[in-house]
Amino acid sequence: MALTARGIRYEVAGRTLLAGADLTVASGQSVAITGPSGSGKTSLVLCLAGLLPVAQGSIHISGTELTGLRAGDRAALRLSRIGVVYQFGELLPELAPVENVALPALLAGVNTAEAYERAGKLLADLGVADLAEAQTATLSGGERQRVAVARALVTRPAVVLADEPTGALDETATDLVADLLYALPRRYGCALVVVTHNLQVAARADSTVVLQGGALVPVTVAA
Amino acid sequence: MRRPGPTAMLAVLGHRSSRHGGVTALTHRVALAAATAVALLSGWLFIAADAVFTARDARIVSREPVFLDRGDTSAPIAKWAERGDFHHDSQFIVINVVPQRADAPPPPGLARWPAPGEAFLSPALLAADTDGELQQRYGRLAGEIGAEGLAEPAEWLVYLQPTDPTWLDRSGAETRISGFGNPQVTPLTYRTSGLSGRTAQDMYLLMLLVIGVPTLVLVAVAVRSGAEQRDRRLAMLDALGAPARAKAWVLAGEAGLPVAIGILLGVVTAAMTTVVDVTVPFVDYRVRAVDLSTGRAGLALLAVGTALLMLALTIAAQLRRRTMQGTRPRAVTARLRTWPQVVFAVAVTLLALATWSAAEAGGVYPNALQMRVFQASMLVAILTLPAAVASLAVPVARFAARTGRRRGWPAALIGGRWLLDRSAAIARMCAAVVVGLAVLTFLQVYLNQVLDAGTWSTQRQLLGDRIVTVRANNPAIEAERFTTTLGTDRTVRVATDDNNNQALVGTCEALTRLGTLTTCTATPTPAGAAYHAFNTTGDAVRSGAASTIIWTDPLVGPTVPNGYQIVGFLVFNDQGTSGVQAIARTAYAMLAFPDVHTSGQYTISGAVDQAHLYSWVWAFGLLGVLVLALTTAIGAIDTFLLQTRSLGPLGAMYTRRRLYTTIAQWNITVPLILAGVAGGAAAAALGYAFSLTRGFGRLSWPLLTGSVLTVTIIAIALGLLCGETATRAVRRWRPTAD
Repeated sequence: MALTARGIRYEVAGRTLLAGADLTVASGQSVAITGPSGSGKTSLVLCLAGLLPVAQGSIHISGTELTGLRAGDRAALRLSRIGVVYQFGELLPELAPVENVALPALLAGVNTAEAYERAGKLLADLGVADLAEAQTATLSGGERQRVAVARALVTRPAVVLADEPTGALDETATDLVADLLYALPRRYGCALVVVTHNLQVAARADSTVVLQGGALVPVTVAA
Repeated sequence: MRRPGPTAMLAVLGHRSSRHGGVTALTHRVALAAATAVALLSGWLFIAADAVFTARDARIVSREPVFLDRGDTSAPIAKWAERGDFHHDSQFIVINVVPQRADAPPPPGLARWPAPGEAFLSPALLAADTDGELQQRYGRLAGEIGAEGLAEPAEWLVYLQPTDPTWLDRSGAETRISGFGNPQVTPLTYRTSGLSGRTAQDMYLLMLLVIGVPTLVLVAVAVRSGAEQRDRRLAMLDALGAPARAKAWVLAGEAGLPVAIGILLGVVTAAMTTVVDVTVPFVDYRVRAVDLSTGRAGLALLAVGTALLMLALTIAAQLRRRTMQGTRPRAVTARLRTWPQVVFAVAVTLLALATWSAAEAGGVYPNALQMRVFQASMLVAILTLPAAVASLAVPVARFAARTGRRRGWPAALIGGRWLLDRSAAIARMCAAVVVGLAVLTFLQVYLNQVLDAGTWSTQRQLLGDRIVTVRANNPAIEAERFTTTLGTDRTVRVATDDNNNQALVGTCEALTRLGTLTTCTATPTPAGAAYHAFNTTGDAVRSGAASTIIWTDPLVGPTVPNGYQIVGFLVFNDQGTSGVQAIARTAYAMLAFPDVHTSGQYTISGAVDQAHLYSWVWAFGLLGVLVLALTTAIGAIDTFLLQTRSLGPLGAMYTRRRLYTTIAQWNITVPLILAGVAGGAAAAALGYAFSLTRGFGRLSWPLLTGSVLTVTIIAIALGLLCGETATRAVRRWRPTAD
């Protein structure tokens, strides 16, 4: 399994957001997580990325247990095996889009020429090749998200986590980004976890779970 | 296209974020450059002090005479004897020389040997001799002593050849010299006055306290200025999985240019002092560029070291890993931690105990246990004082927020809430004010104690310059002539026997100046029997307080008792300073290297020396205060910029100046005034406690209240400035996303 989470418990400021959440995603598969605002969806993604410490439970990424690692080792695992797409892209405004995309690869030790080649190819795949050298601050929401997706993929991760990737986009851009994301597992062989409150976006995943009372409950699609 | 590698890209990322980060990044760049320049210049002060002391010691060694042993039959180049003299209560050295060979090289700094009755004076002494009295005192002025013969430009020194060259033969000490350049000088500060006899270590300690500590505070504030923006960026990199090394490169790229600019500014300023002489304000001490030029290699090393240190501190200050508590990459918490307040409370308790114990004992010596505990706990108390003072802002902020909410005052509500959330930023902003006040107050009390020990000499208060003591070597030969010249009715000879018994020898007219004589006795008589009653002067003479050559209740009479030798004279003077000067001139003209001084003048000169040190403290203290003012300004601007960013959306709804000025007053002016008042109160308590430990010393209320008032004025000005800037910033604010 690319991603296995067992009994995840997470509390903040006395509130229990995750109370024994379980999740399993195989390589080449996609899972959508839905739930009302404030249910803890983003916290779950950040726990899966190793950015928030869990109180209980275990998370394995490609067989490596994330939860037992020190902060530095978690960062290293994140760099090599996890790609994260945030709601607002969270790009570095000082870098051009192609540099934003190449950066994680460079950090991971990929040689410079290859890192930029990968970045350029991903941007082309995602339809924003002509924006490679643009000023990042001038990109639209959809363009930013496509660059962010390219950045998440550049290290060829085992797992891609997307936190409300279409939350700030219009309908057209939402469709475009959703197409891109759900094509990733088949195209790159990674596992994809999409957190969204958009049920139409969620419905395009291989499976859907809803976060309720701190646990993940499978959603059965009516025939 | 050539693409940058990972290291270059990270450094470039840091550099670009610095250039495009708006006002916050600009403030950080300016703060970092200023702190770097100040840090380098602070370091340069130590190198410069070392260079000055090294050059000074070398000049002292090169002029120090090599004495011939008593049994050495080598031909001397000169005879040499030293005595002290006074000018306006400051003591200096007069060197009596008599050349013995025509080809003998004169002392360093002299164009030639002085002829009999001639004197060479140092330029600083000549400048101080505004009425020309000293030139007459030593005979004729032969010229000035050159710079190579002076320990430092401010030194007071005299080389003279006595009117009668045979006088030096009377000296009991060895006087024959074979040349100059004797390294056996102990201590090297001997025969100097410009630095009040202080050693390099004394100077380093002073600089460390009044310049080093403020510089450290400035550096600490500067490296964390604009931290929220940078922390957020680092959190984003962390989310990508960037290792610490990568983030360090980003930080280095961001700090590189400002640090380089700071180094450049500092190096150029420091290098200037190796080319042009600089005069230190307050003390009027001229630092010679030629002395500092030896420190150029040290300056190069200092530049590299300071740059590396600043980069390391900048990186270390940002790289601390923090456990995320929220669900987005976020800024660090700005709330105050409690441990500094606990440490402060413990330190204050220990300090109070040490003070109580010392006060119970009526004051203790500096090396007593109570003083050690006091000093250690005071240092800890000063360092944790900013956090303790900032904690006082919490109830004020809570009150403001509640009042603002209840009364519907937006400024109080926003300002109060903001203060509550960022009490650590307030502590940083107030640190300079609080630490500065505490250090300055402590120094003031310490120096006041030193001055108190000498200035109020009882001899000076009682006698002024009514009794002049003249000491000379074997003066019996000239005694009659000297006494007659000055007046037998006001000159008394002092004689001593082998058992240290003493006698005052003079006419009945002269002896009457000590009290009412029972009879004008013809034979030496114990003073108690010779006098019916003593006046104030007589009491002072009998007790040994009036003169350095009287230490026991003497015999009195018109002739020198058998077995007694004349060692000096007491001259009764009723013509003030001019009378003393006339007596000195006569002494130098008639006696073998005399020592002329008034009652208590040695003690007074020690106090004058200390007063000179006081001036040094203020000279350095002024620099320290400037550093602290810079720190406060950076802290305040940084704090206000945090506020401005969060106020931006409010600007879309309300742009009137009054709101933002009031908010700035809550967030800048109120905390700074609070810091000034609370810091001043704490400083007063520390200073008062310190005076109790020693049993003397006074707190300077004008200094303290003046400092607090200055802080208040600065706080109001900064509040208005920040309010105006905030108003302009919110009017320009537009929503943006990373």
